[in-house]
Amino acid sequence: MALTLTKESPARLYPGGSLRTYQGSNPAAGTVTFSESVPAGKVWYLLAFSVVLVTDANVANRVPTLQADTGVLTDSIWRSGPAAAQTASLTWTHAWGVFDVNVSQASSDLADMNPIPPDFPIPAAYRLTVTTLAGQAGDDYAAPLIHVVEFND
Amino acid sequence: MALTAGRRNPVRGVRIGGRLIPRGQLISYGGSTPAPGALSRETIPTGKVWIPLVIFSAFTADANVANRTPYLTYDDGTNVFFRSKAAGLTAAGTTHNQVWATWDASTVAANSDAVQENSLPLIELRDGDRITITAANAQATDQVGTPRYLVVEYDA
Repeated sequence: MALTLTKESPARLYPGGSLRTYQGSNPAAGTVTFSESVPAGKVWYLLAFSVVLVTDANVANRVPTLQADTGVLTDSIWRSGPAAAQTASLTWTHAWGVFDVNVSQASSDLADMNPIPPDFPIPAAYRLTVTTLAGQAGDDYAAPLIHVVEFND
Repeated sequence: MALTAGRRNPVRGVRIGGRLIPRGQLISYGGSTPAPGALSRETIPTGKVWIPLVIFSAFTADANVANRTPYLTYDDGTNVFFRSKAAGLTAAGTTHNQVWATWDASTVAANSDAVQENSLPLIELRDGDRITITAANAQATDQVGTPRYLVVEYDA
């Protein structure tokens, strides 16, 4: 997958860092595991990650989980999943941030809000990976938005 | 929409949530009042950087039977990169004061206390970034109240 930088400015809360918003690649429909890698020579501190998932009509309970890994799917250094599953034929926004809460959707709110560890360095070539327990062939993720503080390694 | 600056005080460096807030100006801004059924959206002023500490807005649900969930987003002018939702639902004919702040809790208030405390991590917003307050399942004449923002402001 590839990253597109959409905005950048100096980071005051992280002196010496650069506050950057990236848009990741848009996974093809049915791609329920996808990753974006930290660019070469950089270290990321992740502030927020947001992605929309449209589920197909197959009856299943999808559980999107965000993990940081070393470049190998099974080698995660942290993982954060939602408090509730997304069912068939729904469009949800899955948001991760440096929250202290893990809140699933309410009946009117097609979204969840999940915590990520604060101030956790993610070095170059490590990845942010979304996995989806019970993902279906017609499930369709949009391009993720990734908001980070970036340092030169 | 438009912002009106209120009280202004220097911040000399305080620690919130384990992170040092650099020296800046603590400013209270009022936003515009949205029309019924419309969202609230304000843009970080040109040449400024904000660190929002508290964002407040009342949300009043009209008489249509539905459960609304107010939520707040940050975007870079186009792309939403952050989202934080209210701790609970707002039913028909109800007003809840929605408070997003840098505390460690997201709680639903008791019935006698029409306040919902919602989570707001420390995130810097840049010149041109936008803060939007709206609600999932909003109805035609639901009212997002005039927002207020307590921020630490810097020159970009």
